[in-house]
Amino acid sequence: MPPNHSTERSTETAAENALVATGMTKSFFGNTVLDGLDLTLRAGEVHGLVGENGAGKSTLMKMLAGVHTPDSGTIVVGGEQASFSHPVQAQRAGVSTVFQEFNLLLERTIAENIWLGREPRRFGRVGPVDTAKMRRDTDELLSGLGVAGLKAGMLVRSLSVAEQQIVEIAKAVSFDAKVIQMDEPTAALADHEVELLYSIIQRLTDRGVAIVYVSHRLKEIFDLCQTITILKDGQHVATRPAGELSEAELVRLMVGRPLTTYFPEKPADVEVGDVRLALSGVGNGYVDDITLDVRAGEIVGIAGLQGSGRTELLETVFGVHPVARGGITLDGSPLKVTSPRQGVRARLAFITEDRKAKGLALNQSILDNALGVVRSVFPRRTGAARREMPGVLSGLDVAAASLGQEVQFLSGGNQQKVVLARWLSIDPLVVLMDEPTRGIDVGAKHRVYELMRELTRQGVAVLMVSSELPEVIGMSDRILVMRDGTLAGELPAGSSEEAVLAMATGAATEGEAA
Amino acid sequence: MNGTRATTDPTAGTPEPAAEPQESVRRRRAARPKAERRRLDSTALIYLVLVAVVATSAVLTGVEGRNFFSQGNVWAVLTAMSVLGLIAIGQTLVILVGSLDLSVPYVVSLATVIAAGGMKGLDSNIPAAVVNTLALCAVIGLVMGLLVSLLHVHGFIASLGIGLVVSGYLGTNYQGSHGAAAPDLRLLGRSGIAGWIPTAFIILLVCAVLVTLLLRYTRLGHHVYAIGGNQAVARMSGVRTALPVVAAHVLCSVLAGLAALLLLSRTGVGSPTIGSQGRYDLLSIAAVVLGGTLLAGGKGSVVGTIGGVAIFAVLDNVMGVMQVNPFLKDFVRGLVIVLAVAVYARRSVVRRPPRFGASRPVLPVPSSAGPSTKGERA
Repeated sequence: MPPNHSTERSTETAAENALVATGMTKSFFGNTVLDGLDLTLRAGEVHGLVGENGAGKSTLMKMLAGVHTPDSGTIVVGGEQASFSHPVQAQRAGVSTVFQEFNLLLERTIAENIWLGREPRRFGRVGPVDTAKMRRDTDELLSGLGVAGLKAGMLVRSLSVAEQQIVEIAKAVSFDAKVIQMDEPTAALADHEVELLYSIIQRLTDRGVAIVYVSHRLKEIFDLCQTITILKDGQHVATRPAGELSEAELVRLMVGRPLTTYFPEKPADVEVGDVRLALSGVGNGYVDDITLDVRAGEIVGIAGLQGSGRTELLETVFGVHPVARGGITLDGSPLKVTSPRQGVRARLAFITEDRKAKGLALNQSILDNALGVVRSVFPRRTGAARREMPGVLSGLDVAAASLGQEVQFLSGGNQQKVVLARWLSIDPLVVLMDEPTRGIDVGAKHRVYELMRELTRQGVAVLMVSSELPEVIGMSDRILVMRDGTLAGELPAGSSEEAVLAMATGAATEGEAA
Repeated sequence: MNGTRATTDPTAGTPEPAAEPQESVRRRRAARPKAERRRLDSTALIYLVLVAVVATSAVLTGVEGRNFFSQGNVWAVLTAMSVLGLIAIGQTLVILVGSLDLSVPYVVSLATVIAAGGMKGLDSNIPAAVVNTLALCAVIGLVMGLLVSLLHVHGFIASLGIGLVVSGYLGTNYQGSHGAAAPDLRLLGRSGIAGWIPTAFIILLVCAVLVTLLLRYTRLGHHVYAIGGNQAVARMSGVRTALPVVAAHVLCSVLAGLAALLLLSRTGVGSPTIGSQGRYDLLSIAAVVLGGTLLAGGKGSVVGTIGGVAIFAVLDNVMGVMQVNPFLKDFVRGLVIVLAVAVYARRSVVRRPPRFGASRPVLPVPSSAGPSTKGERA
């Protein structure tokens, strides 16, 4: 755990406070979302900010980032009083933020993105943009972060998610940031990319930058942070050194109740039935030679690195990508799907990893979203689904003012529940889940896990892709590991993270030999 | 007609389509191991297509017993390019910033009648008439720019509305031709370099170079791309989003006014319908898109647009030489546009980075290093 041994250094610089925020209060429409919060960031520390969705983490971040103006409260950056009403003011003052949704222009180069809005000019204020300087400075920034493969002239569109995140961090650094806030920085990263992020964070803290680290992955919080601040319902719960907290205690503080088992136990009354979904030798441009089966009432987890073809496998089953080789059967009869519509008709449900882009129509109501699939594929069942929907949604604990509320105003967890309701309405035989708990809070995660168990009780077959190894291990009856578009192997439930990871990275043979 | 059919087969497509896929396959292959992003970019592609179109046209013109590269024909093609070219440059700016300008034909018509009416056939009136005309165009562009940037009316609607207003004004106040161009202006329409390159075309090139420099080397230009690419991102980065939108609309209308002056130098009289007859709205948008600029904005170049304009000009020229029926002309133009956009759409699909396999050598941390430290940690 690289950055954790930096406690010595942080005690040395403990006197220096990079940022002190006191009495931060914000309410929207009379609804107080953050109530008198104090936060002190020491230079060179990684400060974890945890809490369920709606606890006020994002609001706090956005106030420090200049996106929201606080109703009251003061911010002192590097000893100087500051007030921001625009992100750029915050950045100039030394507070940069890497949001979960990147602020990047896909069709522009890395350099053009980093210097956007403050392009260096030759000959003072009237001269042309100094593109050479932009390029030089960008390459310098990137090599300062220890990144070798990125060049200033690359188009952002050609970069992977991890690389785009590096560009965002470089942009944050380019403001000479004293504080860099990171919102769920690993949400879309594979494990080896997370290591790179860790090393970049280490470099930044060595320079005395304070990092605000928001993540739902508690393991990362403990790996990285020296100090952890816990928020709940807009209130400050506790700020403690990471060493004094255990994971269980942290979860208890976050949710206010002890979650005895993080993953709900496999219910005893579920009987694994016949083979529901079977793939034999399936291959196309994305995956190859995939042979697997999922039985009724079974949860099969798929692990693998980002880019190993996990998502593409689910998409292939669902009909997004054509099957070039091999065959798929559903309940014993051949399944031929060449479009998602046919996938739905065969009663496959596909919970996408990108719910904002592919899962929901953000500016439509909860009800319209929840009925979206039924309405377009099984129009005759719409009426019945509409009558049942309020019950389904409240059964999933969707917290919303009304069913007419636009889903863009819901938290990530509630959005995901709407996605689930949308697919439950077709009474699926097989549920394909891609990162079912990405970017949602602990409570909502728990609800999703419970739902998966309920589905198995009804005899639904669940095929789940997840980057979170504890989730794959804790929920799956069997674990399939993918590597480079093929299945690397199968592991039983309860395997160790190391075993899964070794297989996913191809280190398995050595491990077995040793 | 017989000639056409006989010659299209061997020449029309074969050399190009055959060469192009090979090229792209080779590049893709070469690109993979080094993880380089460079493929044939759309500007290079459009000029390759232009070369193919010119070659085909040369052959087809030859079959008709004429020389495509004759002095007169080159002059004709370049002249034809200049008016649409100027308008398309302006349209490029507007499209890049994420807007659209459907008012150009009416602005062109209005500019011809205002300029011709102001000149009244006298050289001494030229400066005042030109300044008045371009200033009026600038004001029209300013109104559209403000509608788009401050009132958040989409450019499509704003320019459609302003276009209708102008067209209504023209319809009520002008019937038939109006005014007369000054002799010096008409002389300009006939002048050129060595009888090959018309002055109008040089004006087009100068404007193209200036706008290219504007886009590449000024903050305004960078911000045009930023706003067209993603307005929210631009705003979050501290870009003032109104100015580039307004500037693009003003420049577009002024360039349309300039194009109108070039038209006037050839026709000699102002006409309230010349713009709509030229269908400059749709043709300029088509040329911009053909030139590789994203209709949604944020990506593209003037260089590409000029290539698109040139393709249209050459096609028109050769179809004119072959005396193709005007409806077939439209058919061919339409086909070219649709095919071009289909090709771009296809390319943008292929251009996404490969999603699995040995595709991530850009990251410095070797994938084996990650898990090994992970193992130690646990």
